[in-house]
Amino acid sequence: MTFFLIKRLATFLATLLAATIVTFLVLEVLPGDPALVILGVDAPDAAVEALHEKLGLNRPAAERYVDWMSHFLRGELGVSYTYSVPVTELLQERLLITIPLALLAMGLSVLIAFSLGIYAASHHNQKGDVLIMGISQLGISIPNFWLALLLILLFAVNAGWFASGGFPGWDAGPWIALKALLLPALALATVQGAILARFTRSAVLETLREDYVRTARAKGLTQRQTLWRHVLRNAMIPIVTVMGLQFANLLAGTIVVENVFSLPGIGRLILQSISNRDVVVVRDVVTLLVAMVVVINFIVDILYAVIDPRLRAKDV
Amino acid sequence: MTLLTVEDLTVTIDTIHGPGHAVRNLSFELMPGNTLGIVGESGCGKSMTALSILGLLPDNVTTTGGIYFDHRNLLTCSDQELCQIRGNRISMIFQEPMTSLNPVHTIGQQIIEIMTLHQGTSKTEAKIEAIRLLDMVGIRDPKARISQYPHQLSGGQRQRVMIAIALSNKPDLLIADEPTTAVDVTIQKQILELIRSLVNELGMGLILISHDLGVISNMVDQIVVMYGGTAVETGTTSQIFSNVSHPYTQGLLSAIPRISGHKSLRQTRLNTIPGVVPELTELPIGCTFSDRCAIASNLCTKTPPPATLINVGHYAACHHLERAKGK
Amino acid sequence: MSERENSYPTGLAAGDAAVNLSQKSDSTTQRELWRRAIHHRSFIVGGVLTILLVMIAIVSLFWTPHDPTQINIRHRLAGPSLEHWLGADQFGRDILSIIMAGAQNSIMVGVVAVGIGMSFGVTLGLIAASNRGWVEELIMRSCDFMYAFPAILLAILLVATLGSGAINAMVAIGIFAIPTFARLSRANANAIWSREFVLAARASGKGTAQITVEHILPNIMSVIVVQATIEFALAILAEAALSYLGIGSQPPTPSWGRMLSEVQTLVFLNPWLAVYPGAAIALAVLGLNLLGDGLRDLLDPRLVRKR
Repeated sequence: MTFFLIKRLATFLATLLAATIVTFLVLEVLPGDPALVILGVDAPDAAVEALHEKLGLNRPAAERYVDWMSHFLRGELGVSYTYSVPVTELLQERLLITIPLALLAMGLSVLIAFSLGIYAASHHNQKGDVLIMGISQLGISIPNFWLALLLILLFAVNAGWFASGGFPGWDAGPWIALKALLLPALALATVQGAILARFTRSAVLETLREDYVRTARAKGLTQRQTLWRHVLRNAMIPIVTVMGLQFANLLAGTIVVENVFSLPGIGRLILQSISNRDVVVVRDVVTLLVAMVVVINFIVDILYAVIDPRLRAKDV
Repeated sequence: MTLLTVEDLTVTIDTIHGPGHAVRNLSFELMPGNTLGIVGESGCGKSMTALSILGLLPDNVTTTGGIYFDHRNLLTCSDQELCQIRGNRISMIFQEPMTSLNPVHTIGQQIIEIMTLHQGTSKTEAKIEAIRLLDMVGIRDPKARISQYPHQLSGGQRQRVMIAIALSNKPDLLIADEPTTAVDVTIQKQILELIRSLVNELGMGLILISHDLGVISNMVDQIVVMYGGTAVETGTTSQIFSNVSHPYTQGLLSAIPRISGHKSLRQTRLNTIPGVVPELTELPIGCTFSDRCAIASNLCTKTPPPATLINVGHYAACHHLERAKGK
Repeated sequence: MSERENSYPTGLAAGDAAVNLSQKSDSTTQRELWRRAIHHRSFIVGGVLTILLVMIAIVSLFWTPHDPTQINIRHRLAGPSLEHWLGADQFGRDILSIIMAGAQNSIMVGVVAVGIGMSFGVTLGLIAASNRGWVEELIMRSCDFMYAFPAILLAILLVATLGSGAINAMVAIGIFAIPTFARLSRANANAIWSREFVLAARASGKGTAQITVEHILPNIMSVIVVQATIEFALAILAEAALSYLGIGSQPPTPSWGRMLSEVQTLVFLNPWLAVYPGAAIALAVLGLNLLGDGLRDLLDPRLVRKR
């Protein structure tokens, strides 16, 4: 088991490292001079040069990478070109919107997916199954930002139950803040939930075909007992793996959905910073997001080993 | 008073090409404590018969007839009633020990589960009993094995665990569906002897299913030979071997390779029964064996042969038993 | 009484109870396939929707009710009428014409993205499957690595680096399809490599490249084709998102995704403006997904053998 863990940890760290290098390199190629952004397009050359010197933009790439990394790992994320504020400050406010949104969406998606998927699998080829498959087929086909727009139309504009956008801040009270996140989370959760539901259904169906399920029934377990005690845990193995990948999609989805609902989260920040050529912000935020995804996948790997004892025996 | 009576059992599979007749009008009787073997090639319906006893057939299958156990027709019982019988009064072990155990539960959990389910024993009591059961089926160091997972055991050991699970509630009947087919030849004999000794010790009835007539002959008192979903010959083991009557059974017997004994009996080539097993959706109207039988006549292809009495308890379904005897 | 050619010793098995591996001629198999296809709901519905999409795109190349880029302020935000079947947008442009022309964009995205993804992905996957060892490790680790990045995120970065525009967005999406095809091809190719007829080919002295092209590739094609339809659908969704964010296709090229961002502020005045382009995307993607599902069921080698 320890060997397995060590191997996984090594892969995890290597991926993180590679991610930072790739992000750095991609942004190297990003056209646009940060100095000009700060000083304005008409700034005199001398001032631009001086700022280059000050920001260290003249040093070779490798040197700047090491410098960035050593600061990053210590939690010193640099100062934004556009806002002249430390990136950490920007992140703090925004993460408090994006992370709860992502978690809420994940929770809703799991709720939708498991209930629909397991129901469809246990009523295979009956009306319920066909209906759920049809609905989920629709669910995976609609763009999440369109669904977001429709939700705003229905529940904010027409019914008036929700605001059509914006975030009141956590100071306004947790329930009010969550209410503002509900529609966006629903938009995200519906699409992801549909994907996960189909996957849950097929994972459960596959597991139902296994011999040990027949053994369980031969022992005298009812359908329900067999499902809960034998099928679900085994079906969870592939499902949990997919959920890890889903989280990456979810984070990506927040970028778009935050736009629809005018939520000042990480997504908005990245988009604005890219158009502002604010390399510092983009670099740090993207790296952070990628790191979050890699960590989640690492946790999923560990969970995998916890659920499936076969993995603990050998080094996989 | 019989333990199990199968009467006119017919199992039909709903396939895209039409109904597949897996079993047709099968009848046999088993007394308490007796052993019965069902022999036949793959696809002859023996597994279907076994599964229909416990109601474990898939949804696209219809069963008619009667399977009488404990004054009830199992085919008309609800799933709830069947759940109380499975693993409790009637147990079944299957062919593939490698995949029949849940990989994420320990051996102990899987044995304890069936005991707490039917007897309501406490976990601690069940654990002690599980260790005893593992010892009974010949697993060494049972205390350690209890907390191990299936992948840590060999195929033969897993099959022993399956036997332990099946016998834990002391059922009246054990159904063993090809229990040694997927196990190493060297272990086969051990497993079979284990089954026989345990069945004798506990006074259980046994239905043993196999394609291997040799295996069956050592293990059971009665034999039902199946082909194409029907019983072609039934009788006691000694009756069938000393007075083999049906052409198909004769073919089976002659196919057992003989490499020892008198020179004149030794073979240089394996005997085979020419032809292929027909598809279940395209079974012939008359005798299912007619297109492969050396002595088949027009009558055979048109009319299903009735079960003809040869001796007390010995039946064969053939129109031309005299001709078959001549061969 | 008949004696068939094959005789085998008793006790030998062939599959499960209801199956017999029959040898049918190719034309019978094809006819059977077609018969199953006609009765397969997903395949038919998906096929119809996809054909519709392609036809609309082709037709719009030559004709649309109005010029989709023609501004006509007099008709701004007009409701459905004889002149504008679906109404007009905030600049008076005919919505139906824009929707029709937008199909071209969607088809192009699919073709470019799937083209890139398939050609590079399948090649990499086949190389990985035929050269076990460090080459395979390298390719597979790189693919795994790409999965760590939320695709949209790096697509956004790439487009920001290369500049906004339809083509760049399509290329970025295509790049993200590569690992999917690579993984799929490798997994399936590995399975084929260990099959007996390949071993026979190797024993007869055929080279790796030759075997890959002659034996491996044809046998994985069905899986690849199914994945291609699904990736086509995903590409349309991804491009719609990028265009919605403003970094995909640029005005005046009609694009369904960008339409949605343009009407976002106006949705209170005329909700239908938001419905049409979104519905167009959804129907196109749905059609392709259903087609992919249908193809998967029809081409699944396991199901074919069960006949």
